[in-house]
Amino acid sequence: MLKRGLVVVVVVVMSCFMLSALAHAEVVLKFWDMVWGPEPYNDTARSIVEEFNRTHPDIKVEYEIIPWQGFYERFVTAVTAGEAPDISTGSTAMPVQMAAMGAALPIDDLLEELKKSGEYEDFIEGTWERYFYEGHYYGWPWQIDPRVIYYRSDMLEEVGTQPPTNWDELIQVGQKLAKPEEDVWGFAFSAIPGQYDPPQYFLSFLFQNGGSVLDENGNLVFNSKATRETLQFIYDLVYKYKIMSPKVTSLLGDDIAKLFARRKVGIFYTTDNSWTIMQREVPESLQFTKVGEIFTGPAGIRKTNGYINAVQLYNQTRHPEEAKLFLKWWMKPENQIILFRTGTCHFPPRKSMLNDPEFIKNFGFADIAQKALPYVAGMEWPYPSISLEMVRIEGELILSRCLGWVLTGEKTVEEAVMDATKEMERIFQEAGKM
Amino acid sequence: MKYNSSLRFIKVRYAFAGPFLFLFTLVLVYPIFDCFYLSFHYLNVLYPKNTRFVGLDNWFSLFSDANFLKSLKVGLGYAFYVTIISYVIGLLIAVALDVNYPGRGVFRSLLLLPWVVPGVVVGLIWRWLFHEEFGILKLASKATGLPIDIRMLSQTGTAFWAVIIASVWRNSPFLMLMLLAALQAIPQDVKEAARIDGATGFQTFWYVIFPYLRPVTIVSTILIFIWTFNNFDLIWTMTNGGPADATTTVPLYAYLRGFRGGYLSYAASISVSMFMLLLTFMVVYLRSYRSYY
Repeated sequence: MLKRGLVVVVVVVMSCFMLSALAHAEVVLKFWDMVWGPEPYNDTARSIVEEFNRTHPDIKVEYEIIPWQGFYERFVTAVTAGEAPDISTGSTAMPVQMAAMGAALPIDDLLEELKKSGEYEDFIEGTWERYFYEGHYYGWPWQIDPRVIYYRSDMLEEVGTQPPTNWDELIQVGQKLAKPEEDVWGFAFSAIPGQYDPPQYFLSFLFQNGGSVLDENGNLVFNSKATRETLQFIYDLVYKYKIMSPKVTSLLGDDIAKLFARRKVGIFYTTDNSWTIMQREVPESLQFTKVGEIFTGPAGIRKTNGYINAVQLYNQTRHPEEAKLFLKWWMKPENQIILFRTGTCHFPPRKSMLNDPEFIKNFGFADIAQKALPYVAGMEWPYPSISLEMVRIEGELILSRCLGWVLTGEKTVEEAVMDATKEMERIFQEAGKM
Repeated sequence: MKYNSSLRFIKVRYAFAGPFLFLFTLVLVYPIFDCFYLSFHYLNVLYPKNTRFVGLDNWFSLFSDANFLKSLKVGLGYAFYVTIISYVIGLLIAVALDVNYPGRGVFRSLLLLPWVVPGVVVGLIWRWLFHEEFGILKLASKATGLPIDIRMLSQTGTAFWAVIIASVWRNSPFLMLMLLAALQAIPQDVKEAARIDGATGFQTFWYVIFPYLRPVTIVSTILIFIWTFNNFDLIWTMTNGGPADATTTVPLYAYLRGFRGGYLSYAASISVSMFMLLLTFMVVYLRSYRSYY
C-alpha cells in the first residue's frame, strides 16, 4: 500500500515537472556568425542577439562565433551530419554553395516583403541578385567588404608626389618611394599562398586591365591577353620596377599593415579594416594614412575586387518561421547600424546606412565610401551572380597559385596562364559546362 | 565442464574486447572502407545531383594529374629528408646522453619538449622564426649587420627546407628516445670487450653498438617516414603548401581538392593511393630487413 502510494506521488511530481517544462518550451535557434572584424564586433553582435532574446521570450537565439580558419569544412561537416545551424553568416558564396548542396532555405518571401515596402530600393544595385540560384534567393546581403588603397601621405610628401590613380602613376610614384637597400617599398599587397588574399588583388588588377575569369554569361575567359599582361605587370612591379618586395609571397596582409605603419611601405592594397592593425602597431601612423583612388587600368576600367556577404537560413531548421522572424529582425537597419558603427565590419549594402554620421566618422570610411565602394566587383565580374565554378577556382587556390608561380619564377607568365586555365577547364568540364 | 569453461573464457575475452572492437570498427575500419568505396564514385558536394559510380575514372585521372604527381614527389622528398636527418640528429643526441652526468634526466626531459608540442604550434613557431620581416634571422641580420636574413618562406627552394627543419626539430626527440632506450639495453661487457680488443670509438660504435640498434632503427624510421609523409598541420600552418606548390604534399593536395574544391571522391582516391603506397613501402622495407628483428 505504501509502495503503491509512493509510486503515485513520484508519477504526479514527474508529471508536474514535465508540464512545467512544456509550458516554458521555447524555440531555440542556432546562429553562427563569423569573425567579421576585431572586437568589439562579436561582442556587439552578441549583445544585439541578447536584445532579441529579451524582447522575444518564446525564441532563444544561441550566438556562436565561428573562426575563419577551417570554416568551410566546419559548415560542410555540420550540414552533412544534419547539425547545420538555423542561421549563419559566412563567406560570400556560401548561400549558393549551400543551396547547391540542398541545405539552404530560400527567402523569396522575405525579398517580396522588402519590395512591397520599398526597402528593396535602398540596397545597392546587384547585391540581392548575387544570391539568385535556380529560381530562388538564398542570401540576404548584409555587408560589402571592399579592397582599398591606403597610402602614407608623409612618405609621398617627402618625395614630392601625389598618390597614383593609374598603373603608370603607380610605377612612377612607387619608384620614387622605394629604397630596396633599406627594405622600403613603394607598393605592396599580400601574395601569400593558401590565403584568400592574393586572388583579390590579382583580380582587381585583371579587371582594371579589361580582363576577367568569367564573362557576363559565366563562361571561362581567363586565357586572354589581358590576363598575361596583368601577370606580367605584377611580376614587373617586383623584378623590373622593384617597387614591390619579393617577400610578398610570404607576408600576410597584417604583416604588410605593420610594415606600412612603420614607413616600410608607401602604398598598400588591402582590406578596409587594416587601419586597426596600424593603429595597434604605431598609432601615430594613422594621421598619415590616407585613402587612395582605385587605379584605372590600361583598359580605362576602374574596379576593385570586393566581397558582398549575406546572411542565410538552412532548411535543416526545425523552426523556419521563427528563423525568418529572427532574420528580419536582425537585418533591420536600426539593429544592423549598431554593428557597423563599431567600424569593424566593413560597409552596409544599404545606401541609407552609408550616410549614418556615427558610422561614417570611422577611420577612412567617408573616403572609402566615395573612392572604393562604387567600384567594387565580385570575383565573378562581369557575371552578375555567384558561380559555383568560380567558388571552386577560389577554393582550390588556382588564382593564388598562378600568381605564386609567376612571382617565385617557378613558371613563366605563359606557362602559369596555361596551367591555371587547364585547371579551370577541368572544373568547368566536371560541371558539364565545357 | 572443460568445454564450458573454455567457451566461457572466450565469451569473457570478447566481452572485454568488444567495446574497443566496436569503436575501432566505427572510427577506423568503416571510414577506410568508406573511403575505398567513395574513390570509385563521383561526389562533389557542390553538385550532389551528379553523384554516380565512375569505376576507375578517379584512378586514371590521378595518374595523369600533374599536380598530384608533383605533390607525391614533394611528399616523398620531404619524408625522406626528415627521416634521415631526424635519425642522424636523434642518434647523435642519444649517444651524447648515454653517459652519466649530473642533470642528465632534466636535460633529457627538456629535449623531449618539441615532440609533445602539437604540429600546429610547431608550424606557428617556425613560421615566426623564419618570418622574413619580423623573424629571428631578420633580427639577427639587423643586429650583426651580417647578410643572414635568408628568405626562407617566399622562395620555393628554401620553403621546402624550412618545413624540413621544423619537422626535424619536432621528430628528433622521438628518435632520440627510442635509440637511447636501445643504447642503454646494450650489455656493457660487449663494449668493454671491444675496448679491450683495441677497437677505436668509431669501430666500437659501428661494428658493436650499431648492430644492436638495427631493430629499433627499422621500426622508428618507418614510423617517422609514415608520420611525416602524412603530415598536414605543420606544413599547412607554416606555408599553406606554398609558395608555388613547393610544399604541397599529398595530404595537402587531398585537402585542397576535397575540402576546398568540394571534390570528395577524388580526395578519397588520393587518400587511398597514399595508404596503398605507404603499405607497400612498409611491407617491402620490413621484408628487406626481416633478419634484423
